[in-house]
Amino acid sequence: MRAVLSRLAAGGAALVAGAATLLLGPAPARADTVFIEVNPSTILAGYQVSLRASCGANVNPAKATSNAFGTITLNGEKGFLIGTATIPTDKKPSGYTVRLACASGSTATTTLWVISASSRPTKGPNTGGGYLANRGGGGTTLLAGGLAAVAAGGALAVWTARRRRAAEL
Amino acid sequence: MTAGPAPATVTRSARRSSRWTGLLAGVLVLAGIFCAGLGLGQATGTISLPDFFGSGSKAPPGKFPVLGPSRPLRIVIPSIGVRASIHGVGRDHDGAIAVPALSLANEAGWFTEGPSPGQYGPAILVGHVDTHDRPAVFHRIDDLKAGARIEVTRRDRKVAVFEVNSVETFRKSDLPVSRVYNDYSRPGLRLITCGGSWVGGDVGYASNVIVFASLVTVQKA
Repeated sequence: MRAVLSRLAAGGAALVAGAATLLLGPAPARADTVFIEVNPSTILAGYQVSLRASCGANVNPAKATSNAFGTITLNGEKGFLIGTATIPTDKKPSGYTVRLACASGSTATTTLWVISASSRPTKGPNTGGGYLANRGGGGTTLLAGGLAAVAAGGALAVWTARRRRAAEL
Repeated sequence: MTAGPAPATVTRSARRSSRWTGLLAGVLVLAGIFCAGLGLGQATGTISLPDFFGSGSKAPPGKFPVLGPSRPLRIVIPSIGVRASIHGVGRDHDGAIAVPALSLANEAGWFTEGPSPGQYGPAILVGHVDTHDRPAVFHRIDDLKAGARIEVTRRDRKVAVFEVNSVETFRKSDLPVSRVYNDYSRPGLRLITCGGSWVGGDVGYASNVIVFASLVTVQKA
């Protein structure tokens, strides 16, 4: 009888433990949500990006470090850690790792791709050989048609005026 | 006034018909001036017909996927029958984007110093509209409508699917550089070719036709 009772108690304890792990299960997952993201994740050198991170339950300011912009501090805002970074104009085009260091010691990384600012084209490319240039269109039909319509309208107006005058006389 | 009733009706009907022909004459003159102006604008490359009548534009999506860098290999535009390979291009001595060699006029050139299709920012693909004796890869780009799909296959076996927002023509001398090359607010695509009137020499065509498109989905190749 006592043995049965103790077995029951053991079973109950196991059940409680199981329930506890079930209930507490999500907790470690929440601690896992340490992340950092850069927006936009591709940027021209010389421009600013915004960083958004989370250190899970830890809301203390954290640091974000990257060869692209050095180290900046992310501060808590609306449940996330927020900051902005400016990429120096002379930064070489490449992918740069951005590393989040939480006050709790956890870390996360993401990648920021930098595009060289000096590589921005300033003009349009010359993408034609001219074959299609002389194939009708080009506005000449419209222009000729328009002028013809003006002439026809003018002639009609003159004719009408003459007829009206003749009718009045 | 001893005129009979008959001449009076003749005068009245003549007057009425003259009013109508007068109106017709006015309409003809106005429409003619309008058309002539439009034709003149088109001939000199200052007005593009589709732009003038509003070829329509479609706003880019609020939500979109984002990809990392990977070289684009092929472009497919079903609505205008474009299927072409893509090779890399850099810049020419003028600071403009280099263009594919005329022997590769049926390929598109990807500007390697900019983002890949799918990354944040404008991925730039240039292509010839024609050579000296035949149409080339982007010769029907003017026919693209807002909302048309453009599929770009990348080396990482992902297909970036873009949707056309607008097709616009700009004179080469006053290209809206920041709109074309510097919009990093979303993953975008710019198809650039030539258009407008033929100037010849180093310039070729006076204008550039530019397709503005935005990434909408990503598929597996």
